[in-house]
Amino acid sequence: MTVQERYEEAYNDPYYEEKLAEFEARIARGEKIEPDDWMPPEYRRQLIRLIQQHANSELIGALPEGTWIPYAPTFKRKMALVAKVQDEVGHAQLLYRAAETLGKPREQMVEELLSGESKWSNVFAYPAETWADVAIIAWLIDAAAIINQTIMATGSYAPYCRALKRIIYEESFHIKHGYEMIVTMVAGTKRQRDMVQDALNRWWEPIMMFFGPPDKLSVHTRTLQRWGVKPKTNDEQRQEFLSKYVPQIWDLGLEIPDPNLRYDETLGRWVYTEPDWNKFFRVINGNGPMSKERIAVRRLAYEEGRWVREALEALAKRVLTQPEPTGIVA
Amino acid sequence: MSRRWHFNPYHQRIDEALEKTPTPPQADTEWELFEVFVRERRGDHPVHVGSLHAPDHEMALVLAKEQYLRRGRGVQLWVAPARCIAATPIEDADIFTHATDKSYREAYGYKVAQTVRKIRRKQKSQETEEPCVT
Repeated sequence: MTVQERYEEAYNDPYYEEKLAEFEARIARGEKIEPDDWMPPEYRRQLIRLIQQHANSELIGALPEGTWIPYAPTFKRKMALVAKVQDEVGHAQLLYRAAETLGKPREQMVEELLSGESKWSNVFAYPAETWADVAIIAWLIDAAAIINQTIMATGSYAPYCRALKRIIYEESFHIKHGYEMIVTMVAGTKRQRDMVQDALNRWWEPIMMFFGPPDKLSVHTRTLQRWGVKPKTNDEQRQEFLSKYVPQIWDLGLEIPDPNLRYDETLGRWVYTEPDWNKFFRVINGNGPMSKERIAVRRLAYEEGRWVREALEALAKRVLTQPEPTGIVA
Repeated sequence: MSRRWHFNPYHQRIDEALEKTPTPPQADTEWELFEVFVRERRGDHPVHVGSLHAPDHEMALVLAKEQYLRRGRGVQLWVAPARCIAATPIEDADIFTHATDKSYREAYGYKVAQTVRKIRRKQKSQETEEPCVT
């Protein structure tokens, strides 16, 4: 069913209001929604968009660190990077699978990523210039991602929540590994400390933009929150990140390149220089420093992996004419 | 798009890939859906962990190992085509609720603490026997 067809079916449904009320009551009770449940078309559309962009981000996110695998300073770091990159690609597959349960075909999502039509997180449109960049990404960007994922795991759509639980469990080592790299360099020579500070100076603005612009205070935002699509607003998530990680950054003696950043006791939240959201939109629309190269690498991988897909396709066709396997257990 | 020559053949291929228009994925490459179960230790039930598409059951096992046993523990993997699984409709969850109180089938349906306290009180006070009816 196309998106248009779903909307038409919903608006022509005489029981729409009743179904909507039951759906909202279920979520208010804290119950999860499974793929076979009735859901409003807008809920389905927003979740597909959100999960697809998350999946894209995991896949593209493997690239800034993947380029450093041949250049890691020690063998242990190399192996940890390989494992991390492997995890990110696996997470992308889990998330594409979750989006499929809402009715979007994998092939369409692949095509939309390769053509540049579908978006992914702003942070991966920047280059990892030094080894300290790799450490900052593994520590602070994975930290921001875990905060986002932990919040989203309290949402209402069960397949997404289940995928997130698995992802959060596997990502626990990413952030620990990142923090260990940072701590090693900060405890090292002045040149190492300067490299970390320089990386932080360049990455702070993209990290502040990671959670997205302040949500418009609209009925639409409130509806999505009530439906468990977005349990907390972008600003609320950003505040959680700042509360947890700014003290840790300062604790290491690192400086944050925002003179306005402080916790305001009266307001009860962090205040900071508002990021340039026009720049954010330019980046996520494909104009970041590395945006085109990231997509080019994905296209290259897609072309070079074509023979594997074709071999498996031939296998699938051959298997259709063969008998079923016998059961292995009683 | 300007063409530059790179020393690194990998970067050369990236440039070429950038210039080529992406070939749309072939339609009809939707493989069969398999449900995946992991038995963590000998003696455990195989537990459902997720699902994936694969061309056949052997590839499903290979891909499931990669996705679900990259991390954590396991001694056995099962995969089953999703079409082999029959399920009750989720909206009919009320077929599993009981029409009447069936607490007599559960341990919590039997409350003895008060009666035991009564026995102890009786033994202490050495009262004459009265019939105890519950």
